[in-house]
Parts: sequence; C-alpha cells; structure tokens
Amino acid sequence: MKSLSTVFVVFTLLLHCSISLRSQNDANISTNDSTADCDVTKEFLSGELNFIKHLITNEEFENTIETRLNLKLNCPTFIDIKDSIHYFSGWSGYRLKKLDFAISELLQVSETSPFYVKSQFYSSFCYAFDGDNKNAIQTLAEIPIEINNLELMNIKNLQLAGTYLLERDYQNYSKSLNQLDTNNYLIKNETERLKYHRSSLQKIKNKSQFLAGLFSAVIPGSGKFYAGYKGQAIAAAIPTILFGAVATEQYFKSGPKSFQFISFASLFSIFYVGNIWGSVISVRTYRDDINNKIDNGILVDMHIPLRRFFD
Amino acid sequence: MTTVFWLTCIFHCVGFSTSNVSDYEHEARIAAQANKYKDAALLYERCVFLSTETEKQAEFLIEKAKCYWAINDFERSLSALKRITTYNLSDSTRFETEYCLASNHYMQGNYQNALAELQQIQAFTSDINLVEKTHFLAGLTFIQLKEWQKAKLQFVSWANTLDETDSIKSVITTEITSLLMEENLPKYKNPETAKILSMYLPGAGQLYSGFFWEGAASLTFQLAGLAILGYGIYSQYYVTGGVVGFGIFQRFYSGGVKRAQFLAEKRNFRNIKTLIEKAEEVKRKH
Repeated sequence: MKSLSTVFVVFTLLLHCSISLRSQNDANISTNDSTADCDVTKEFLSGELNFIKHLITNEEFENTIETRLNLKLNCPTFIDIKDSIHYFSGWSGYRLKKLDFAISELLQVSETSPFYVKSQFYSSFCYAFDGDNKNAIQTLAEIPIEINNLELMNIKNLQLAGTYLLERDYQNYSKSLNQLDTNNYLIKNETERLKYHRSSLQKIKNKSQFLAGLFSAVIPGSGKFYAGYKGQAIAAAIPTILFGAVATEQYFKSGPKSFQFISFASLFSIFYVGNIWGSVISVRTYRDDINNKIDNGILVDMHIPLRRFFD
Repeated sequence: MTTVFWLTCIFHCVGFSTSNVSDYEHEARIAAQANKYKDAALLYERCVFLSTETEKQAEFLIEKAKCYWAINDFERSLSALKRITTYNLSDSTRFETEYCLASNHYMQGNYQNALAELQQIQAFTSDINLVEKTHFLAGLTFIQLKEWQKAKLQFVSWANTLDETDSIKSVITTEITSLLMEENLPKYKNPETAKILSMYLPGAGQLYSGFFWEGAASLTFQLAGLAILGYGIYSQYYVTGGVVGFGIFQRFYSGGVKRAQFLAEKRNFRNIKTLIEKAEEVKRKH
C-alpha cells in the first residue's frame, strides 16, 4: 500500500507539473514578455497548428491570422511545426490579399519544410502582385530546384518570364521564355498569353503630352481624343464651346467691360484651361490604364499555373 | 499514509475537473460581456474545434454567429451558421440553427431566404412549442414582402401562443390585425409611376411620393430655367438664354426624374419601417 501511494504521489506531481506548464503556455499567448518565448511546449504548438488547420478547412482565414498573431514563434525549436504555422497563416494572408503579412509568413518557412517550395513561389507571386518585381525575381531565383524536375523548372521560368514582363525587362523575359517547354500542359496556354501580352505592350504608342495640350488649345477636347479617350473628348468639348459662345455673344452685345461678358469669359477661361490641363494629364492616365490592364492579365497568367501545379 | 493516498486521489481529480472546452467557453462569455466580440468569436471557434459532439459544436457555432451579429458582420455570422449540419441534431438545436439562419437573412434584407427557412421550420419541426416561436418573425417577413394577409395570419397565430388570458389575447389580436387592415396599410408608391409623372409634369413625381416641398423646389428651378431661356430669346441673347436657361432646366429636369424614382422607394421603405415598428411595439407591450 505504501509503495503504491508513493508511486501515485510521484505520478500525480509529474502530471500537475505538465498541467501547470500547459497553463503557462496558455498565458504566453497574450504575454509580451520575450523571455518567455521558449517556454512553449511541442504539445501546445501542435495543438495550435491543429486549430489553425481546422480554421483553414473552414475557410476562417481572418481567424487564422488572428490566432497566428497571438502566437510567439521566436524560439529556435520545433521548426517543423512552426514552418507549418507560418505556411498556413501565410496562405490565409494570401487568400485575404493581405500581401505584406503573407510574404513575411511564407518567407519564414524553412528549407526543410515540405511547404518550402510552394511558400517561396507564392511569396514571389505576392511580391509581384504588390508591384515589388525586384524582390519577386530575387525570391524566384533563390528557389532550389533540381535540374531534372522539369515541371517545376517550367513553372519557375514562366514566373520569371511574367515578372520580367511586369518589370518591362524584355531581354531577360525573352531569356526565360526561351527556356520554357512550350508543349508542357502546365504552362502551354499561359506561355502563349505571355507572348500576346508582350505584343500588346509593343503596340502601346508613346504619345506626347505637349501635343495633347496643343490639340486641346486649338480644338477643345481634341487632346483627349488624341490621348485615346474618345468618348471623354466630346464631353470635355461641349461646356467649353458653349461658354465660349455665350462669352462671344456677351462681348458683341454687352461690350467687353460688361459684367456679363467678364463672368462668362471667366467661366470659359476656367473650362478652356482645365481642358488643356486635363488633356496633358490624360496621356499619362491612358498609358497607365493600358499598362495596368496588361499587368493584370500577366498576373492572372502567372497565377493559373501556380494553382494548377500546387493545389 | 492512507490519508495522503486519498488526498492525492482528490487532488488528481481536481486537475481534470475543468476541461479546455469549458475554459474557452467561459472566456468567450467574458469576452462577449466585455464587448470583445471578435475575441469571443475566436474562442467559440476553439470550443467548436475541441468539441467532439456535433450538438455542442452547433451550439458554439450559434454563439459565434451571435458575436458577429453584435458587430453587424452578418456575412461571417451566416458562414458560421451555414457550417452547422442539422442532420442528427436534437429538435431544439436544429430549430435554433434554422431560426438563427432566418433571422440572419432577415437582418441582411434577404426576406425570401428568411421566409424559406421559417417555412422549413414550420413544415418539418414536430415540436409545436418551437414552431410557435417563428410566427412573429414570419409576420415581419411577410410585411417586408408586402404579403399583408399572410402576415396577418402569422400575427394571429403568434397572439394565440401568448401566455395570457383569452380577453388579453383578443385585445392583442385586434391591435395587431388592425395595423394590417386595408385602410391602415401603407399605399405602395410605384417608383416607375413617380418617374413617368416627373417626366411629363415636373415635380409631380415627388408630390406623388409624398414630398411636397421637394416637388415644389424642382418645379420652381425648372420654371426659372425656362424663364431665363424665354427672356434670352425675347431680349435677343439667344446663345446666353439657350445655354444658361436650357442648361438649368435640363439639369433639374433629368435630376428631378431620377429623384422622384428614389423618393418613391424611400417612401415605401419608410412606410414598411413604420409598420414594422408598430408591430414590434405591440409585442413589446405584451
């Protein structure tokens, strides 16, 4: 009886040590004390990872991010579990288009993780989506892919070609494009689409802002027509012409010093100058609109093979 | 030593007396009471994750949905409720789930979906006490759908379920059905009619919708525009009269037509809102 009691006491004390450690870990979720970072147990982290997986399954992406933000993952232990947490929270950030968060999480997935390659590809895509093409290229270039892994090499080269096209680096775009196996089902259609985007970019004319302004000064609205906004040209011309006609009538009937003439001439001047300035700006706006449209197309064609391969 | 042994046994049991689920549930309640609804929702999600019983999971998901209601995030509450599989649930939990879904749809303004949920409860729930709880919301939903007779029937059914004497029930029934009598019903203002009226007679669409001063203002501005046009022609300032007069008239004319349509919709919305408030007032009183 005595020995049984002793064994039981020892067992119970050990059990309570474990329970108190777990409670301490629970407390660590909200504490800001950085010295407590390494107190988390493997069981605790596994539990959190399972909860995060449950959230992902139920498409509770905001709650996934919230759960991740409540965790401290600075400790250099349990790397495999932490990698998975980084990957799943990064994926949630990507799904919610919280790109900065997604990038920072995905890049923390270590090389030993089975999620490493996917995380690197998606963080590169997030960079490109965010307009940071330099980092996107750098991330892609650093992904270690075995030379005989043709599918992944094709995906990588397509991503590189797309990102170089976003960067308008046509020389490197062509280099990456030439390395693609254009018959591969994963990238076949998207390769053709990239070529189409490249030709669309070539067709964008470099119009002069000075000429647009000059055209609008001679015939109101014609500068916008020249820039590419054909519908807006008429809308811009009508009020300018109408106020011009009223000012002219007032000039001849009421005289140049009359209140009516000064009022309508001022209104005309505002519309006239505004029209010229609008035409100058519209050259750049039109160019940006076209570029954005093409960039969106490129991003879509970079995205589809990624989903096709990894999901 | 025997005492130590038994004390150890009790101590041991204390360690397991509070499970994680109940801890998280308790924390969730505290967070909700402190108006930290997002935190509460996440804690309820932990309860869902840790629970093994579908019944409990459903209850936690309902609580989670209610947290999102508190912050008017009806999309997320809806997705929480949609995760509940009603198969194999007890009658009361299944009722609670479907009733919450109906309420969620009602609050989102999806009245057809709300009605579909309520009709499903009324058709498939065997417990009559649970079905009775749906009548008032069904009545409100029918009002929103402008189905007055069906709304009246639901309110009568609701009044009959009240725990009151027959005379009081009769008073409540009279009170609530009088709201839906032909002469008390709000007249529907057709936005298309308002638009056409304003097209042919400026300001008439606004007047039809019950906004007299807006109609008068619209008519005045349009007449002023026409007066400037006429005066311009009369004084041989053709261009000035045409541009300024016609410009003012055209702006107020096309704006007035669109505004009349909007005002008719606004009037209908206000009328329904007033009727709903009156019905809710009857419920509050009793």
